[in-house]
Amino acid sequence: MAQVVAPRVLIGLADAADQPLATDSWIGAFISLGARLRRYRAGLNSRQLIVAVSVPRRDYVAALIGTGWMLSAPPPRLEAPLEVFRRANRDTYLRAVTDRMIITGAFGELDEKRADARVRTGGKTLPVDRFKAVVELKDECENVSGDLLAPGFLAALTGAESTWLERMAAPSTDLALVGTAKWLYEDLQALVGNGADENGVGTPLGNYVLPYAARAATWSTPVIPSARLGEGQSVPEPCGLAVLDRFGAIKYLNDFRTPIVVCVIDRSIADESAAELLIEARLSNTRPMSVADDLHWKPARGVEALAFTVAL
Amino acid sequence: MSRIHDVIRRYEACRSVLSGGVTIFAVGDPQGAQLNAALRNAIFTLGEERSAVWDELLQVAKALRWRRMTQPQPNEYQPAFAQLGDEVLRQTSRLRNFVNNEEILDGIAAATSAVIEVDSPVGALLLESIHDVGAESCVVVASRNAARAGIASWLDDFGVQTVVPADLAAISAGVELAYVVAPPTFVPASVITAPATREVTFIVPAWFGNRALPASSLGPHAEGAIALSSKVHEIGDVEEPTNYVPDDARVEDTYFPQPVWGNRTSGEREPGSDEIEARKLLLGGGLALWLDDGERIRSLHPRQPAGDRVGYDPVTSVVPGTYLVLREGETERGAMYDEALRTLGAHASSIEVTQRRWKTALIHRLDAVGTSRAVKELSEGGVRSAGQVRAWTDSRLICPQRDADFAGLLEWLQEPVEPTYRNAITLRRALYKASAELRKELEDAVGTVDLGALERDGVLHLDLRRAGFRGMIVARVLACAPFTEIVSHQQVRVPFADGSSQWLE
Repeated sequence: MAQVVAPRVLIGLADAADQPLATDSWIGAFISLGARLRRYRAGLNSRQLIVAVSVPRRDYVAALIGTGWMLSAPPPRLEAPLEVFRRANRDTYLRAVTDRMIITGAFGELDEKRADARVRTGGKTLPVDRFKAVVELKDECENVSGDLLAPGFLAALTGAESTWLERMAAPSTDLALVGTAKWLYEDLQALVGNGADENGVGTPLGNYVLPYAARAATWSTPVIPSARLGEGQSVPEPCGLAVLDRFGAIKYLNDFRTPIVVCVIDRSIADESAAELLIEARLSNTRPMSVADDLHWKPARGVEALAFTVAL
Repeated sequence: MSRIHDVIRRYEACRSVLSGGVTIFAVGDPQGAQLNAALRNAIFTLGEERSAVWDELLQVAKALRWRRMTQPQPNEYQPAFAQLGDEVLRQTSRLRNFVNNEEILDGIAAATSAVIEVDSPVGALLLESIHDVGAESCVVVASRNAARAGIASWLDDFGVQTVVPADLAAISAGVELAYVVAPPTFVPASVITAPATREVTFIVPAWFGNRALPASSLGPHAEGAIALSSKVHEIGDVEEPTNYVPDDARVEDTYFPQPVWGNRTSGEREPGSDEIEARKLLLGGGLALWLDDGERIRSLHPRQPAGDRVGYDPVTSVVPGTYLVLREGETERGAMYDEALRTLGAHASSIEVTQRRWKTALIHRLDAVGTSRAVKELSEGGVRSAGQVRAWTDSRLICPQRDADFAGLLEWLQEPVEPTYRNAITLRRALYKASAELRKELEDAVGTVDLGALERDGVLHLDLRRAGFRGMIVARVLACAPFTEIVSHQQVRVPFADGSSQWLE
C-alpha cells in the first residue's frame, strides 16, 4: 500500500500552469484524509463510516480527498501484456498503456509471426513490447487514445509512481464524487505539486482521480450532479468512498450504502441545513468516532470534523 | 487573483478571526431605546392573552424597531422609515377608540415620534468607522437584501461596498474588515465561522442586549470546533430608559418581524381520508402555500452555476430563504404523475390497479388503527420513514422513497408484494424520467431570466413551452408557521394569494 502523505510536506495548488503553486496547510491535510480513510476501510466490517468536514469554502476539498484515496489504492496486479493480447478476441475491449500513451478500445489482432510481435488495439498498431500494462475492460467503448498522464510530485511522494502504468491501465474504481458537477470538474483541473519548490510545476488532480469524461483514455471516478440522485441515479457498485459536496448532495445521505461517505459542508453558505441534517443523522443509532484518535487525522485549523459509524 | 488565492484567503481570515475574536460596538441610541422599552412594556403589560386588536399596532411597531436596528442610515435616506412611523401613529390613534391602555399608546407614540425625528447614532458611528479604516479596506454587511438596498443608497456616495452575507465570497482581496450592521444573532453563522475578512466588527444599538455569537451547527459536536470570542465596546449614551418590565420577566417579544400566525384551528382530531396535516408557508409576491410532510419539493438555488440550479429539497429543509418552484393552479406532482402514466402506455392501467389496491388497504388500516399507532407499528417494523404514512395515501405519491420502507409497508398491510412492488417501482422510474425532463426545461428557462430580480423581489414567473407547465413560479419562503393545520389534499402545494406578509421584509 502506498504511504500516507507526510504532514511535513508542503503541498501547493494552482489554477493554471502559468501560476506559481500556492500553499496552505489544509491542502495536504485533505489529501491525507483520503489516504487515512482508505486505511480505515478494511476494519469497517458491515458498518458505514460517515465523516463530515466543515470548511470555510468547499473549493478543491472533494477533489483533494479523492486524490488521497486514489493514490493510496493498492496497485493493480496485472497479467503480462502478451498474455492479455493472446486471450483477446474481436469482442474484447482493452486499455493498453505504453511509456507514452494510453490506448483504449476494441482489440484488433496480434501478429506474433514477425520477429518483433505487433498488436493492433484501439485502432493503433504497435510492437507488443511497447505495452507495459494492459487490461481487459468489462464494457465496450469507442477507440480513444491519449498521452500518458503525468504521475507528478504526489505519485512520487506516495510511491504510486512505481506502479503508475498499471494504475493508468486499471485504476481503482471505488470512488464517486457527488455535487455540482461543473465545480467538481473545475476542481479536478487544479494543479497540485510540491509547494516548497519555487519553480514547481503542478499536476492536475484529475490525473489521480480520473473522472469520467468524454474522450478520456482512462477513467475511474463518476462525477454525479446532485439533482440526478433525485431522479433515480445511484452510485455505481463497487464504490468504497462517496464524497458528497455541499447540501445539494448531502441531503441524499440516507440513500447512500457506500462503506464510507464524506460530507463536505461549506460554511460560507448562509444555510445550516447540511450541518443540521448530519447532527440528526448522528443521533439515530450510531457510534461516535474520533477523527484524531481513530482515523489519526488532524483537521487543519478552521476545519471542523465529525465522524460516526452506522450499521449498514 | 486566482481562485486558489481567494480560497486560501478565506482560510486565513478564519484563522485570524479565531485568534483575534470578533468586535461588537454597542452604540447608544436613546430614541431607539425608548421605542424598544415602550414596546416591551406594552407586550409585558398586555400579557399573552391580549386581544387581537393589538396585533397590527405591535406588528408595525416591531417592523419600525427592526428597521431602526438594521438600517441605521440617516432618516432622510429612508422615507419608508417615516411612513412606517406614521402607520404606527395612525394605529395608536385608531386604538384609542377601542382600548383604555392610554399609557401604552402614549409610550409607543412618543417613542415613534422620537425615532422619526432623530437619526440613529449607529449610522453616524458606522460612517466614522468607515472613514477610520478607509472605504476601500472595509465592507459593510447588511442583514438582508432590503436592508442592503437601504444602507447602500446612503453609503454608495462614500465609496464603500454594502453587501448581504451571501455576497461576501465576491469581495476583493484588499478588504480586511467587515462592519456588520445587525446583532450577531440575526446574521447567518457563516459571517463569523467562514469570515471573508480578517476582522469582523458588529455595529449594533446598545438597547439590543443579546450579543451572543451564533455557533456553527456542527461546532458543538465536532472536533476542531470553531470557538469564537467577542469584545464589546460601549459607545455614546448607553443609559437605558426607565423600564417598567422587571429584569427577570419573560417577555414573549421577537425582534425579527414575524407574521401573526394565531393558533391552530384544526383541534386535536385526526385528518380524514382526503385530508392531511400541512404547515402554512408565506412566500414572496404576496403568496402562501400549504406544505405537507410528504415527498420532497422542487427548489431553486439561484447562486449555483447554470444547469445546476434546479433540484429537490426534503420538506424538512424548507426554511425561510428557500426558493420553491411551484406550479400555478395545480401541483407539479399531479401533472408529472399524469405524464408518467401516459408514457407507460398499455401497462399504465394494470399499475393503477395495484396502486389503488394498496393505497385503499392503507386508508382502511389507518381508519381502523389511527395514524399514531400506525407510525409506531411501522417504525418497529423497520420502516424508517413511517412518519409519512398519512402522505402515502395520496394517489399521486407513488410509494415510499426508500425501497425497503415500501416492502415493509406492504408486509404490514399484508398485501402481496408482487406485482404491486414492481409496478410501483416502474411507475416511479417513469416519474423520475418525466421529472428529469422537466428539470432540464426549467434549467433552460431559469438560464434566461434575471435571478437578481428573484433575490430582490422574492418571486419570479417562468414560461415553459411544455403543455400544462406554462405557469411556473419561483418564490422565496419568507416564514413558516410554527404549527400544522388539517387541510384537504387538493389544497397542498398549490400557491394562493395571501396578505399576511405585509410587514415582513
